[in-house]
Amino acid sequence: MKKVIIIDDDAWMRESVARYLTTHADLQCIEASNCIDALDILNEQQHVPDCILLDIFLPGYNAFTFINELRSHHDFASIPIILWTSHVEGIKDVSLGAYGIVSVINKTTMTNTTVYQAICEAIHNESN
Amino acid sequence: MCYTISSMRQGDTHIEHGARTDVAMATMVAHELKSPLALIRHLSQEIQHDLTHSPDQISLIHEQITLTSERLLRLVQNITTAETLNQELFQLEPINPLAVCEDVLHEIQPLYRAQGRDIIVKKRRKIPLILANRDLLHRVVSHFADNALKYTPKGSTVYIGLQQQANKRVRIAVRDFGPGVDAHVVRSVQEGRCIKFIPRRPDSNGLGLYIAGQFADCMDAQLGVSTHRDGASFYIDSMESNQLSLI
Repeated sequence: MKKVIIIDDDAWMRESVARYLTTHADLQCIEASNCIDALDILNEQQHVPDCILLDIFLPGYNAFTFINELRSHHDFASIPIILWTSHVEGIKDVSLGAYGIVSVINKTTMTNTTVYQAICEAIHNESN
Repeated sequence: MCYTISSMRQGDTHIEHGARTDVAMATMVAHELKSPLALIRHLSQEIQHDLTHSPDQISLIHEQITLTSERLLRLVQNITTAETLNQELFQLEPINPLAVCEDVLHEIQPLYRAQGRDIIVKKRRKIPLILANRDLLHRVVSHFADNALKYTPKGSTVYIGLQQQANKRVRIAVRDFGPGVDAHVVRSVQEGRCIKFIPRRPDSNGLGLYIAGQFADCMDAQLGVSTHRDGASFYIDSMESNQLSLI
C-alpha cells in the first residue's frame, strides 16, 4: 500500500482528504499538523513515504524550510512533494522545481479527486 | 506596507494613501477569509459526493461546517463593526469582566471541543468592575480565544486569565501554547501598529489584532502581548470602574 504524509495545520481539511484517500484510493495516510511533527514522523517510519502533501503557511517552520531540511537528508531527498494552499498567487514567483515540488493544488477549487490524481501522478513519475 | 492605527483612524484625506490603505485592508481581509471558505466548500462537497459516510460521520461534518461558518461570521462582523466604529455608539459602562469572559467561553467552547482542545477561565482574586463596552470587549476576547485555538496543539487547554493590575487597570489575557511571537511583534502591538506578517505564525496577517486594537482604543484600553517559552499571551488592559468607590 502506498503511503502519503499530509501536513496541514487545519485538522478538518487534513482529515477530510485523509478520509477520502483511505476509503476510496487505498492509500495509507499519515497526518501531521506542522513540519516538526512531520520530521519526527519521517524519522520514526520504517518505510519512506511515497508522497508528501504539504501546506505552505504552517506554524513554526514554513513549507520551504521543511523542504530544505528534507532535501538535506539522503533517505528523504527524492520524495515527491505536492504543495496545497489557498494562496496560490503568493507562490507564483517561487521556483518550485528547485525545491522538488511536483505540483501545486489550489485549495479553493480542488476536489478530493484532484488531490488523488495529483498524488497518483507524483508517485507514478517518481517510480518511472 | 504597514500603517499605524492612528494614521488610519485620523482619516487621512490624501486620496492616494487612502486608496492604498483600502487595497491593503481588502487584501488582508481576503487572505483571512480564504482558508475557512475553502474548508466549508470542501466539506460541503464531501457530503454531497461521498455516499459511503455513516450518519455519524455526516453529522460530524455538518457540525464542522456550522462551527467554521460561525467563526467566519464573527470575523466578518468584527470587520464591519471596525469599519463603522463611532465612539458615541459604543458607550462605556461599568461591567463585570468575568461575565464577559464566561460569555466568550460559552460561545467558543463548542469549537474548541470539536477540535480536541479546551478553554477555561482562570481568575486569581476578586476582580473589580471595569469601564468598557460589553460588546467590544467581548469581540476582543473572542478574537484572542479564536486565535489561540489556531496555535494550540490538540489536547491542550487555553486559559483566559483575569488579573488586577497595579495601575488601576484590569488585565484579561488569553494564553496559548503555540509558537511564541518575536520581540518586534510585541513592540508593534504595544505601540498600536498594524502588523502585516507574524513570523512563526504565518497564517496570521495581523488583521484580527488590528481590529482588536481599534476596539481597544475606543474603550481607552491597551492591547499587549507577552511571549513565553511555550506560547504567548495576548491581553487587553481596561480601566477599573470607580462605581463602587462612589457608594
